[in-house]
Amino acid sequence: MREELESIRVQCLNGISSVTIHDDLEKLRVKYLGKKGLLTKVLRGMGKVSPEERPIIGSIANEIRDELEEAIKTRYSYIKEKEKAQRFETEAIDVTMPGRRRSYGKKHPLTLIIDEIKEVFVGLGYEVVEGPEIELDYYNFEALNVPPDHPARDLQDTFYITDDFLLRTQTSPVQIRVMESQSPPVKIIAPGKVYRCDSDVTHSPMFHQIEGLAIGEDITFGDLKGTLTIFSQRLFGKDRGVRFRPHYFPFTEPSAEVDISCMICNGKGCRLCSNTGWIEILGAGMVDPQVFKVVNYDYSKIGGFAFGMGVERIAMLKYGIDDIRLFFENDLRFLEQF
Amino acid sequence: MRISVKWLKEYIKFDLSPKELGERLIMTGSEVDEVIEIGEGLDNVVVGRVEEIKAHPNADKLILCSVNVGDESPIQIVCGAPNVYEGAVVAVALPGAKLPGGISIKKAKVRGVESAGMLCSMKELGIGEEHGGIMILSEQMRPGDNLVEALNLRDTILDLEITPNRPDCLSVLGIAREVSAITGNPVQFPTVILKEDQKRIEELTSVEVLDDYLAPRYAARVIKDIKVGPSPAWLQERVRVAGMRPINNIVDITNFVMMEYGQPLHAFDYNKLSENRIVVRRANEGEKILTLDGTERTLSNDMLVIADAEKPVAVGGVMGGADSEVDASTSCILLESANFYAASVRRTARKLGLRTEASARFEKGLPSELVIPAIDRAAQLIRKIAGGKVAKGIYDVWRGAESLKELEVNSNRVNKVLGTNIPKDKMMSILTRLGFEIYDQAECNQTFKVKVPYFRGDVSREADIIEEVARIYGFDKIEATLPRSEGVEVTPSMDLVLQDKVRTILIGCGLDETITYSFINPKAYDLLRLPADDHRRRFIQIGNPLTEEQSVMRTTLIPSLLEVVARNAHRGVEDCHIFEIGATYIPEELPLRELPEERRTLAITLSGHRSEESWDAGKEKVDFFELKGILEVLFEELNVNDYEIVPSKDVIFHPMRQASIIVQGKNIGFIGEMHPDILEGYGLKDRVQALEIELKPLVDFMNRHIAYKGLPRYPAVLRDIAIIADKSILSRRIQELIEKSGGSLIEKVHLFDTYSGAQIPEGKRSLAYSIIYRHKDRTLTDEEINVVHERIMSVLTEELGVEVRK
Repeated sequence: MREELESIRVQCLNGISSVTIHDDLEKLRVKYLGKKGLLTKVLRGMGKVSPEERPIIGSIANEIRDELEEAIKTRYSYIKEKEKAQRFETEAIDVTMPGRRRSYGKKHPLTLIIDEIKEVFVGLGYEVVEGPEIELDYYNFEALNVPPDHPARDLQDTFYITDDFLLRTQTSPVQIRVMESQSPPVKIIAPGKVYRCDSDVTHSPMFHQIEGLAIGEDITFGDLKGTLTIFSQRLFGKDRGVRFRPHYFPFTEPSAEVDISCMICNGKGCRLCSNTGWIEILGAGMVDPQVFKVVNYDYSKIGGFAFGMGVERIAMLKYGIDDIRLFFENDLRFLEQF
Repeated sequence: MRISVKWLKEYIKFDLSPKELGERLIMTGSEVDEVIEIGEGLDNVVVGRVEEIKAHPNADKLILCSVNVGDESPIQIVCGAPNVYEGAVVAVALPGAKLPGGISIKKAKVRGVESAGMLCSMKELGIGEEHGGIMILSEQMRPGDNLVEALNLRDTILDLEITPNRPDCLSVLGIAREVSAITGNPVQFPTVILKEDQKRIEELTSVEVLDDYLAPRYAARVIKDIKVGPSPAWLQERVRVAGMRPINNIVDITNFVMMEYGQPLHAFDYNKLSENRIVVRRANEGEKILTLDGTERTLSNDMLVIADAEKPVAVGGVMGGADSEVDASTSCILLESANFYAASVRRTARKLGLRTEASARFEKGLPSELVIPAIDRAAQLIRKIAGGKVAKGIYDVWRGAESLKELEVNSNRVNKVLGTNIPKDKMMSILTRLGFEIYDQAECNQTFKVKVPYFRGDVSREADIIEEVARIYGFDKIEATLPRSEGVEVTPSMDLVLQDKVRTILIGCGLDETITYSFINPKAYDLLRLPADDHRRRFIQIGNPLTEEQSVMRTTLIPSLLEVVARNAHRGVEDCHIFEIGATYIPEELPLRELPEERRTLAITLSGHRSEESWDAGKEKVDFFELKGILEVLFEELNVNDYEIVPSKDVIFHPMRQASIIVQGKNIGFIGEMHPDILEGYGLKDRVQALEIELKPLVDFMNRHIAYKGLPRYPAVLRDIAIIADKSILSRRIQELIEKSGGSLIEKVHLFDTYSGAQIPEGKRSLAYSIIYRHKDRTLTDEEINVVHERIMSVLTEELGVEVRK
């Protein structure tokens, strides 16, 4: 009987090692270890074995069963791993092929710049407001201390609809509308479209400006400098030098233009900055008393500053764009770069 | 304003280099546009004398000049200028010279003949604008001398941008005053001592001012026995560095004094004035004058003219007339120094399209006080340079002097506005250097009084004084601070929040944002085939458009987007999925009597393929439902649920593929496939889906309260239903009927298939819906569902007459 068991063991182990697919292994298990399997069959003949030998044969049979089950299990894992490896092989892909894209659109570059500027000022406690693009001459000029025939009108070639109605040439009229409708303190910025009869590589008949206004009891020229320095460095980098240069605007006094050190040459002088080392980005100043008078604010009690900037100019500087018309052509190959 | 540093130094001493001076001027308010170094690059340019001229053997227009440049033997130079003659003293650029205009001089062969240099024009040398011929020098100059030394050319020109409030700085003395304020050094004004003749001016002429509003002051001098001729070299140089052309000594002097004092002057040929007298009046309507530039101008009654007894001889403050021009034969002049009303000069110059150095100054407002010093200075120079006898006295017609403005300045207030601690003494010294007179000041007092000098018409209030103090003190010395927080509550505008949100959603849907012009071509409305009475044709017109293409304010964004699609298609970009948020301009009445409505509008157009190009993706083109899907996503994200898409009849769309978008019963826009005729008009071959909605009505939904609903705990049962219905029955109607008759057990109904064609009768289509049933408190039994499902089927059959497929 021992020999019989031994031969089953050998046969079965041989069988296991030659099986290569999962189904064959299962058949082999049933053949040897199943309820009607060879090992069971042999053990049914235990009756013929002497009582002394029975426990010995029994334990040998159990050992063989354990050994075979273990071998099958090992073989099973082996086959499974092998099958997996084969599957992987057949499922190979070329990872360098392009992905299937979920298309995602782009905001217009001018929207991106406006958003960035809004974020800075909202962080400083400013409210974002809008005003009409078709304006009254009064708000666009007169209330801003530019009466008819004022030479400053020459600086802004205006599109007129009638004698009284025009396309606003600046976002500054929003200042007047805000101050007319609320009392101080005021902290607003007003982005929007403005229009001037001018068209070339750096001028567009429609462009965007952002106006800012801060009015309060103790607002100083120093505050204007601090606010616009923070703004300039947030937009163009911490290392940018910021310079405030006296200038003239009819609705601010004192007035300043704000320059940043040239980002190309770092102030050494290059083509972009016309060899000056500086690039103008903003106009600003303390609100003129005449403007306060127009909106019935008491100049003796309050003060404030206003500023304005051209969005296209800032976008051109930031992105290195040299033709303003690209913004309005909307060539998708342009728009999709931002 | 071109300022010569050399000239400036005649009136004020300073130790600053031209570069430092430029920096200081920038930081006190006079922006430097350009720094021009005169004499730079002229090291190898020398004086030469043309000894002999021969014809060029191979070229008709060229000549061979034998030029003495101080060496033993003359050099040969090929030249093409028409004004060279034998004996001419000229500027010669020798090999090695690099001229300011960018030309490098080498020995070269010109048409086969050796040329050892170049004869130069003023423009090539960077010392003037003249380019017509080469520069002819005085015959006294010695060949071989360095040109820069010989002409004493070396100078720096600062081209300053003077702001319109500072006409006083449009003069060398004005800038000298600024430099004085910067450095503290005094200005040396020219000493004017004028020797007059015995003859009184009243015996020679008269001045009559008929409109003293337009001409507050008119002063004249008469100078006889003058000799008109070229100006001396120093005067020509001054005129040239200022950017003007030397003409003759009289004209050059008037220009020189204008540059020096900022007061425009004009000289008339006395003998060409009818009755030798001046009448200052308004022009008669349609009156004509030939101005100095050789153009005949037609005048109108709002313009001021200087006339003689008969006719206009100058357009006041703008330009003189050709008929009374000073020329070589002139022996007696009437010199004008006057003050004209700024706004009128500006209007006249604009109307005539004629801006001159004079009008640019007058239109900014000059003081009448400047008239006399300038006329005396010019008379002094004329007497010295052109000889002549200055008649006794000035014929001066003046409306009258205004007293100098007086202002009280509170130094505390100055510091409060600026955020500084500038001592009162410092403020007073700044103002004194700027020409302000300080009075009524006490040591213990914070306030003081100033008299504003006559040349500072721009200063009339305390704020103006604050600016003067700040700019001279130095903006850079003012400490940067932040406003003390005032605790203002900031509420974002819901309109803007909505716009931002719409942008974010749409770029998430794969659309690119465009920004196009607010003004469009009125022909766009014809391209859209809009009938004459269509509301979109009620547009606002721009009075002075740049071009026809940009002449009317848009009432719809669709044409702008179609243009973008067409432009991209033309450039080979065919898949165009774009949107724009912008205003449309809707007038209440035309012509405008109040501000129009600026309606925030969203437009989308889709064309080309559905998805991005891929190696295995389908190549389906976008259709109506692609765009409607985007609209559904947009509305879902904006919490807009109460809306309907209703078939419509808009001429701009495919008649069978279009709908109105109704939100809470209000029509807010449209969606559809663009009409093929319109697409053809834009040169587009592909279909374009388009949508336009007004954004304002969507704002209210932004605040909708969101309440959480518990997740379902019991299983759902899914049943399909397929019907064959008449094509005229809208899907929405079927779906509503299913939902209504199914009642509360229905969780969701959706259309998962439609079909028409083989096996479906003509005029009908098959629609398949899946219905999800669920009860929130228990598991539904088949029997319960069967009852509902049967009911749905019978309602559909009875009410819509459809066939339910089993």
